[in-house]
Amino acid sequence: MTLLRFDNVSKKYPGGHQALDGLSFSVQAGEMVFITSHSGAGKSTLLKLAHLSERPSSGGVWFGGKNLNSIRGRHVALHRRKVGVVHQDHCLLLERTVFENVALPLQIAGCSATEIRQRVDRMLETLGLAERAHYRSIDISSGEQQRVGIARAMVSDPDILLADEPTGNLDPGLAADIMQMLVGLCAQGTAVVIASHDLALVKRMRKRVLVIDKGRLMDDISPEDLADG
Amino acid sequence: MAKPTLSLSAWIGQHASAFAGSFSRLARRPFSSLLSLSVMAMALALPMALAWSMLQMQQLTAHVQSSRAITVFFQPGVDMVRASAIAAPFKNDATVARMQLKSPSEGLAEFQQSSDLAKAIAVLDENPLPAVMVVEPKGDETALLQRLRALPDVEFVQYDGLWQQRLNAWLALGERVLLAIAGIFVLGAVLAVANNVRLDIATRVREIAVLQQLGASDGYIRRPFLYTGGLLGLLAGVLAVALLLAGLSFIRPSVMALLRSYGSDFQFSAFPLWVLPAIFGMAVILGLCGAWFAVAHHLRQTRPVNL
Repeated sequence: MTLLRFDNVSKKYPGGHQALDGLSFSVQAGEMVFITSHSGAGKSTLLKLAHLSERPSSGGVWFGGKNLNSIRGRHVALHRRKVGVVHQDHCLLLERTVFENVALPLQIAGCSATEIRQRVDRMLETLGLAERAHYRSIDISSGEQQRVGIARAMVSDPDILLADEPTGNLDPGLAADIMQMLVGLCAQGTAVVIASHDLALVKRMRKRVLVIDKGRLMDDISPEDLADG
Repeated sequence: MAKPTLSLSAWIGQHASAFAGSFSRLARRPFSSLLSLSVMAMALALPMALAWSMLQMQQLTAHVQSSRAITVFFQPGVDMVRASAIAAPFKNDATVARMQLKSPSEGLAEFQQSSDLAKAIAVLDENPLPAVMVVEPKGDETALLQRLRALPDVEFVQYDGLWQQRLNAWLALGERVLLAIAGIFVLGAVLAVANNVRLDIATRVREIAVLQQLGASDGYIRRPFLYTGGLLGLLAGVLAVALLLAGLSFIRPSVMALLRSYGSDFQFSAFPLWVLPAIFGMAVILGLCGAWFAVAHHLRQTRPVNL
């Protein structure tokens, strides 16, 4: 089932920068897709459009069969709750504890305190952060902050997870663990879109790869093609 | 995992959390909170004091001037027989509620009792006061007034209702001015809260942005700030009432002394307790308005175009 579809999407910012130019692709539910490009080639804009942080200048972004251009007002917030986002700079509330940061999406969604505690504890355990649960986020390492960001994106069981360089600050062993966790998430039906310029990681994962350059889709490499080199 | 749904307990939990957060944030910056609180309290206390003063003034004027008496002064040479003859038709007049004829000697006795000039009058050789007819009109007094003025041997007709009409006009003007002043001060109170909340927002811009990224609705973002505004309003209402009561107890002795010097037995009415919930409720609403205004402005400013 197609979950996310970009249909001839272009995005030009008010300053004149053309971030995306006629981009078309689709992502299936439970699929993992890597997006690679040079810096400034349009990866972040693509993620923003899927998250509804931006609107396309032309073309349509479809999510679960619905054109995101038609979503307005409070429905924007409802759409974002279906989307988990891992930011490159973590975007944590540094004065709050690790537990409180991970609990945020569940609080926003209106889960009960008991459910929040259970789900956050489980997520922190999975990501090896249980002992850091009551540390303030400012007091933990950058790698741990990255994991907190991932935990927060995953804890609400989103339909799709958009990750911008999710393993950028992690050591190789932990990065591999995180990627395996994301693969497990896909197996549960969550689509995962990862923007990364870590080609070694991308090759190792052997998942579908979209190559973007100057806002255009240059290549759409299937896992089989990747395996064939 | 099942998708989360908003249960009643979760909804209450969200509100409790927002309230606790707002309270602790106010407590964490006591100087700023106290400053806003004081400004808002003063902005509320002044119109309240003016309103209370107007109320007392209205009660006082009703107290000292409940009648609309018309006093007819006869010419000095008119004796009581002549005065009685002129006054007789008004005794059973349909437009007259009560008529009383006072002789010069009765008038002098009253004057000596109620005036500081008693000693001065005592040295006079003869009574300078004329016979007087006091008429209380029934219904519209305009026609009666004209008839009394047209009577023979009448020196002067004093209509007590005239100054009351003028006083009522002044009181009506006072009410208008009070409303205008109250409006300005209420706006000031709203802006004081809005400014406090704006400063709170300024320190939490990043937090708001993160919450929006995570799917927080405008209502979720707005909630803690509304609690801050409501709390500020409530506390300012309490402080305003305290200021008002303190001010009233401060000026009451002076006002009472002034009234006694005019021979008035008027008593200030106690501050009615039933208005307290209304005052506190109004203060909370004003606080909410200020907070809403500040948050709405921020949300408008930070929302990407077309979202």
